[in-house]
Amino acid sequence: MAKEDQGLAIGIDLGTTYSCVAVWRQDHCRVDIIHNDQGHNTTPSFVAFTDQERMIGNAAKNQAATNPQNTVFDAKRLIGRKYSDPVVQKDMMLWPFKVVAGANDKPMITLNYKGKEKQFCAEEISSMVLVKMRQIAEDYLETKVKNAVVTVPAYFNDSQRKSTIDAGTIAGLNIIRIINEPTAAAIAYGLDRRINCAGERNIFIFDLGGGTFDVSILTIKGKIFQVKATAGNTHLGGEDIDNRMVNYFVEKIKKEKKVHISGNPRALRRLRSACERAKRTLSHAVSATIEVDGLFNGIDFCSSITRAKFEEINMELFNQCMETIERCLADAKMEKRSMHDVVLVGGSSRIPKVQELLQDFFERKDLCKSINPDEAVAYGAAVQAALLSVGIKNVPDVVLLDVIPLSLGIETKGDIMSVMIPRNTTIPVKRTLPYGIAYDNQSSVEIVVYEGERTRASENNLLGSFSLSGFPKAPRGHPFDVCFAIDENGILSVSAKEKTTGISNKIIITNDIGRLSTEEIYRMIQKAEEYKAEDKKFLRKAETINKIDYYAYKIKKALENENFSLKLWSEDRKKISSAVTKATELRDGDEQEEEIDVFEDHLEELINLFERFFEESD
Amino acid sequence: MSPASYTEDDVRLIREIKGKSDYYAILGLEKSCSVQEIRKAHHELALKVHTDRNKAPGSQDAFSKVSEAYQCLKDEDSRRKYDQTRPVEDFDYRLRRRPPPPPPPSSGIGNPKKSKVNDGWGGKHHNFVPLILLLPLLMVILFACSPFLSRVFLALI
Repeated sequence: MAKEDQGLAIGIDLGTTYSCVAVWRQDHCRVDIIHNDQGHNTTPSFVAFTDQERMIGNAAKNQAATNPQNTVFDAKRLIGRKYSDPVVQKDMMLWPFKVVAGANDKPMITLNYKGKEKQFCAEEISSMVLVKMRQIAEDYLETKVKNAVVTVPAYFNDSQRKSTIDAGTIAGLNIIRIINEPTAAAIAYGLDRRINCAGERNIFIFDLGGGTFDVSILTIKGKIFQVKATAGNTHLGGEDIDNRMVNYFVEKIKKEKKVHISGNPRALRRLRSACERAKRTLSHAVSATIEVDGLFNGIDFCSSITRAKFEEINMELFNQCMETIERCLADAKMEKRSMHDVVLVGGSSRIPKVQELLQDFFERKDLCKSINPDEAVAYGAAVQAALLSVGIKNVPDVVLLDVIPLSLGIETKGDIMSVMIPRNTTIPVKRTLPYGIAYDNQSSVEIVVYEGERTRASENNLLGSFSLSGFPKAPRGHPFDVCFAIDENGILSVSAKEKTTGISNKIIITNDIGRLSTEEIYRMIQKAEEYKAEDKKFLRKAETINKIDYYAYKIKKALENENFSLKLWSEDRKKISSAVTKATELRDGDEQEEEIDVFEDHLEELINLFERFFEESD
Repeated sequence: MSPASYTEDDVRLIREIKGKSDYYAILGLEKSCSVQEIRKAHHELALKVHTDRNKAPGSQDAFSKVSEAYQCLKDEDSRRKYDQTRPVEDFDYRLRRRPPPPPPPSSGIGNPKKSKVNDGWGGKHHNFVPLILLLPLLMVILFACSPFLSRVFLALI
């Protein structure tokens, strides 16, 4: 990896609803949050497909209402999950795009692109967002960017982390590190406040984003940022709040107007956008109006919602947040009084009720709002990216000691989960434990790796399995070693060894559990390149058509001038007007399908004509 | 610091830590040290052996050991337990740990078709009467100790 570390590295906060990219500027000794082509610091994690083109970011989100079936969002809620996962099943009911089960129970998003049905996995959609973020950074930095640190929710499991790395690979990025979002936010906060930071400081990070919720407790002392404990919910965020609001209004419309809009994706999308806007308004106003003209069957919908009602319909979600906080404190074995700072991260942390509950919980402690909740995560990722790159100067010298969010272990006799590495263990970590075979004369053992907190192994999340075989038949209890190693990214590899024969076997979790194989990733990279080429072609064509239009207009204008027109030979005049007619046809006609060469050839002809006859007269 | 290279000192430090098994020795401390000293030693060592700062081979193992030692010693209860069972110096490394916690009540029993791995107690099932006698004591130890240490018990049987 060492060689690939060279060059500029960016930090990407790949969010459920919005993504953000940042970079460390060594000359200025600070992090720059990079704005996109629209001037916004965050870009919607949306990808849309039409008959003509592919769109990513703002462009995709803006057309979501007119093209709901082919506009994909929330890929982060699918990544690293199985189709049969109840969470996926529940989400699917709310998504306007279609998700089907692919090979190995992998969810596949099905949509129409250029009139053909295409299937994408969540990794591919996320990779498109990553490509966009990289593009934004490259435009800003005016240089190629290859390396990136990408953030994931602290409570992401092993498969979700690995899938995120795969998404980076498909995007052609070299992901030098995966870091946890609250930890990244802590870097942003810690660096900001380091001057005042004498001795040890306990920081509580509350990160309620668009789709996920995390809390982390860290201790900052000098250069070391040590995570004490982390807890969270990978499916709790602003989107869920929006869902509840949408449901509330759908019911209301049903009652008042006697119409069911739940089967209409376009109406739902528009209602959802209005709800999201109202939600934001309610963070500073006590009531908000929702207005959607022509929502359904010509009905104009206009209603309002008070902050109290909003809080009532979402109270259950807020309470879930509070329970998570308590669990995290208990895991860290720390008192809430011992927290020096409570830091708010993520857009949904702006909700007044959330802040109120949090403040009550921490005994009226002031909440820290000095960092930007939308950008702090990308900020921290940028610092980590600079730290891991060669030859970047003036980087703040910090070391992150992060933890794993879920216990890892293997299944032992009787479906018992034998925990090898308990949750909240500092990573990287490597641990070898001896186990014994369960039956006499067993010559192979299957090692089944699970992740989770349940005592029954099968109730936990199955990560993978492999077998160790070929050693001589031995009596029950014959020992062999199992080794779990977790790297800095929180990714697990497991190996086992039978000592008398030296037979060993190793996995970085097998593919059958839904991880992409190397070949699949390779194929997806190819596919991504093709899409990129098509996007470029589309852009080139659009630009050519614009230019054709421009020259045709100029020529037409010039011809209108009679003095000039009379100077031309009639043959030339004929030639010119036929070229202009053809230009109009190309621009407006059905010939959009034509290959780009046709357009470019004609543009050349127009330019030639223009230069020959008109340039002098200008 | 260049992430790609490492110095002689890095290598030496890693080798030193890997050669030790006593938690106090890993942190370079005396048994009588204070909690502050443990924290300080861990802080300094973590900065030196963390895989982001020390690229010498084996830094992951060394870092792992430093964390494990710190995790055990920083907590008063688990430190006391460790002190009580701390073995004499020339013992085999794998046996220099605390006694194991009891097996889960259902271990060793169950549907044979599903069972893949014995949890390590299965091999000594003929010994389970003394184990049951020890159960209450072991339970106390289990709950009082830091969870990850309790896993090492398997080495004892």
